[in-house]
Amino acid sequence: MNFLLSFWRSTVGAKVVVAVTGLILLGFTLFHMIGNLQVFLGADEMNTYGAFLHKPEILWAGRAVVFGSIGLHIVAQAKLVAATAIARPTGYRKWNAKASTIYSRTMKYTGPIILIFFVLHLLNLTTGAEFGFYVHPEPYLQDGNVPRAFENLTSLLGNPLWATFYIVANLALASHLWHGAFSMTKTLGLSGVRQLRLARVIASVFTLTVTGGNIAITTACVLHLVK
Amino acid sequence: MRLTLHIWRQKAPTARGGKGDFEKYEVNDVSEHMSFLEMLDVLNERLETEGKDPIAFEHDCREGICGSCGFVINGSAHGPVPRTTVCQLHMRSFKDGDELVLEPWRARAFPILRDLIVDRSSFDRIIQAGGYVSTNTGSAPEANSVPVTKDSADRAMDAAACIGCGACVAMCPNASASLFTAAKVAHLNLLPQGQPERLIRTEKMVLQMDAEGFGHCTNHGDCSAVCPKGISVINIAQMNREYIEATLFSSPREGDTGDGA
Repeated sequence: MNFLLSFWRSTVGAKVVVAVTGLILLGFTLFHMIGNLQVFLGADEMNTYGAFLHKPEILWAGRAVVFGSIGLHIVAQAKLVAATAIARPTGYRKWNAKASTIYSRTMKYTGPIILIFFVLHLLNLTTGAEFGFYVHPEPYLQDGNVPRAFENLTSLLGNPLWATFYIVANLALASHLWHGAFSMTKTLGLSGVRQLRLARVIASVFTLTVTGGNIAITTACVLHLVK
Repeated sequence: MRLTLHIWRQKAPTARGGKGDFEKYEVNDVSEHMSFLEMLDVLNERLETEGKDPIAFEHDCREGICGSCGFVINGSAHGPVPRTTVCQLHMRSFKDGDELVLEPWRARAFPILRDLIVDRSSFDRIIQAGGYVSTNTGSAPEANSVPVTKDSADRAMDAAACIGCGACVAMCPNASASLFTAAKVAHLNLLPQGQPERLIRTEKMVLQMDAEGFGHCTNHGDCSAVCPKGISVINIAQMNREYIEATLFSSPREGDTGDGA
């Protein structure tokens, strides 16, 4: 197992862990966005979908993958950031970006914003904690133990403050994915010039699709366009 | 033209606890035909006649091919002109009255020796870790007996253009040496002569790069943008791929302790 330890300890190895877990999380964000588009279909479709996801084997397999990926993503990146934080003890008086972007340089800030959002999102809509103007719909549960996803979501995002926060979080996600979804292809070894150009396009379209869909859902809820 | 320079002055090496600061210099009568280093030569002559310490900067060939020179001018490694070392940068790239900040490369793995000179031995140790090919010498083989595709030859040559100046590390927001290491890895790994040691080379050079205290690569791309030889970031992607292959998908090699040492 020495080789795995050596891989993990190296900067390239830890980056690969960040990239692979990031790739899994990309899949999750897309799946989550598409699933939630059902809010436009109405309460019945959305709640049926919610009940389907609450089948124990689906729920816990999904949670294991998502939580495991997020955990590894953060631990590996934190290790890299900690090591790199001391790589330049004295900074420059002047420094001009040549190719790096605001998106690439703010990864370590957009990441924690997304994490905070993720935690609050789970507290409200998964555990059902009531705080910050958020009040459960009544009745809260359907079919015994499954939260009523549609009423939950529209009740939370009907609040302009929560909706604003969700939109801000999605902009942070957009910034994070704009760099991350492309950067991971190079980390995982995609080195062809044409292939990288294609990867850039796919990463951009992916980012705009996922965050655009999420923001559309949020906007529809706060404007009470979905009933 | 007249220039105002703010130059980092540091008498003692950082390794011996030396600290530095900026000093301001006014330089008059700068000819636009001078190279940047010639402009500093003129300033140094004046400082010497005034009995002051001349500004220390590294230089050798002054043809842009040795990789000795380099410092940061107004936030850009080797100054504002792309694909140019500071010795090949001419004063016509500046205008009368410009105020310039001159700083050494800043990285923990590049401790300052004096003023604008940094110690780049960390690069040498990365090369020593694997930047070579081992061959049994004998009579030279028939030139055409080892075919090399044009594509490989071109890409290896592009990577081999790296002069090891350190501008990539200097401009990287993470002070990463990935572009340098990747160029050296790619240059040898693309050629037939480099194949027997391809994986062990990649692994050892990456681990040495880490051990020197450089930061990690986050694919910003600032390294390639300031590289005087235009080394592409695709070399980093290739290094990543070969490192993955070397550590995760290859059998232990003879004498390999498993820790990459």
